[in-house]
Amino acid sequence: MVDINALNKDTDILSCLECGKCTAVCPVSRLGHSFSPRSIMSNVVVGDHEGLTTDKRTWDCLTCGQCQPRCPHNIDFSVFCRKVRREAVSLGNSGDKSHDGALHQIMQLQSYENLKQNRLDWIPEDAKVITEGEGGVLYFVGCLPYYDAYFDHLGLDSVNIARSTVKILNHLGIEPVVMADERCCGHDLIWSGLEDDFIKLGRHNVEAIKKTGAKKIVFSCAECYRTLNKEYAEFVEPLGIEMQHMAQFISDQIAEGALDLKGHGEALTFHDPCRLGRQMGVIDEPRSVLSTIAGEGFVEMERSGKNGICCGTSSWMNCSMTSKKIQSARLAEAGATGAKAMVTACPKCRIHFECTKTDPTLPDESKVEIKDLTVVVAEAL
Amino acid sequence: MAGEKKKKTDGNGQWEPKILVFACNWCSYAGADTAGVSRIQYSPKFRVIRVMCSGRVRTSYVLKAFQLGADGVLVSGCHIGDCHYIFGNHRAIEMYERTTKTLKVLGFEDERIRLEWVSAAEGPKWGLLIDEFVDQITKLGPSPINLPPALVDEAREAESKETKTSKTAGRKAKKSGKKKAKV
Repeated sequence: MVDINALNKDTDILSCLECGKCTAVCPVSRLGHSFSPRSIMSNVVVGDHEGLTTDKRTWDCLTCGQCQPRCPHNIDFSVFCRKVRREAVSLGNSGDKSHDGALHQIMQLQSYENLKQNRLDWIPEDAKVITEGEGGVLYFVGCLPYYDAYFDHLGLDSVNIARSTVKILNHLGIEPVVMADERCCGHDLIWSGLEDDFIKLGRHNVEAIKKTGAKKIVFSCAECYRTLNKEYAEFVEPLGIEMQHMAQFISDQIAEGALDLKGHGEALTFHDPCRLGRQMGVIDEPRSVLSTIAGEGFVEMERSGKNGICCGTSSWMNCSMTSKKIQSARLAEAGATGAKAMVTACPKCRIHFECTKTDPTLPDESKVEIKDLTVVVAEAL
Repeated sequence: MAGEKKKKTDGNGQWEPKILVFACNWCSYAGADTAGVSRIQYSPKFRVIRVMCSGRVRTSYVLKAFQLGADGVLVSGCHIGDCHYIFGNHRAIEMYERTTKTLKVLGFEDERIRLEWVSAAEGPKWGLLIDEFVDQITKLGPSPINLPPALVDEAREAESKETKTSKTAGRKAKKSGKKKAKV
């Protein structure tokens, strides 16, 4: 049973007016059926919350946060889902994990103290990186090496994001620390109700980060950036170190005149990852970077910035036909701009779109190239 | 703790590996039956799970096995061309490649997972295979996440000694070597 009063304290769920704005903007409700944040909340308000933990619908929420800014009471439906999921997991229920839960297992296996990973094989010969010892700037790589191993068939070359990030940092004369014993940030575990494993990962990372003595952490992943900022402060401990996503870092460097990028004028568009744009408020920075490179060629999609649509799957849960519809719709939007590539700042958005691109029924004009921001910048150095 | 230790050792106090075998219903499981009917003597130190096809074994099943304490996982199916479902064992090969790559990043040795083909008639081969795999895993020792705390300390001590006497320790040495070359 969910403790509704405790839940209400955190999310203000009982002040729901049942206006339905949440369902009106929800990408899952628009393209799928049977999912409605409004009906879930109105059931709670009238006291019918017996089946909340067994209801599969709470796992359908993408936690993209489209609904919260529109809500007259600012109810955080994503956090509501996260808390309900935690209860559901403690009762033995779960959503449908993609790939039979393989990616969750990769994350859970990383929570074992004894593990000695081989996660540095991507570092090129000519890169200047501190793998042991202390340094001023820490680059938090995230799960990129795992994605390349698991999604080999998609030909992602995700570690190119890490290589590009190091290349940019080296270009600026920065020798970043890359931790050999870095673990997954735990984003997907906390959003799929596995709080205990998340805390284990968090504790390990916080300790490892403190050992490096870093004054600043940079990220190439939007989810890692949010998790270390917000969830670590809430569940583990606040790091008290300056954190920047590469989009912010590069934009700052351009503004200071330290970084000079070669423009090519080819049309580019930007897909805002939910975690970076809407939730962490990093909206202008990636645009200013891309405008430097593409100049007049930078085009916006129909829904962008704060209204940017989610990539359709979150924390490797409940990937369904609705997810594919959301992704196809987003790719169609990107195709309609005539951009040569859709740039994003989250490796996972890229994986989900690349997966959708393997759909043989997808029209050719939707098959735009999907690139990471750091890769685009590294190419323009 | 004491109970856990008991489970992990045999009567002589020796560490015993936990080995999981996925065998396909049509060939390998029948092969195991043949081995039994022919009274072939082989190691009993494994647990077998029958699946309808080796292609049904997903990466997540193997990872879950390791997460639950397995030290080695063997997947066995029909020979290529013999699959009851025509292409199931080709899927098993894809799974195997993906799993070995993932396990490598996680720091597991390649030898902890193995994919083999055993037909229903190959009873003796099944016996030999199991014996070989049990030996292989026993030599490797407990899986990286299974090391009991005492063994972890030992391993760490051994490692620190190694680095002190500057006997090259794999990746670390390579990395520092690289760095020197760069500077």
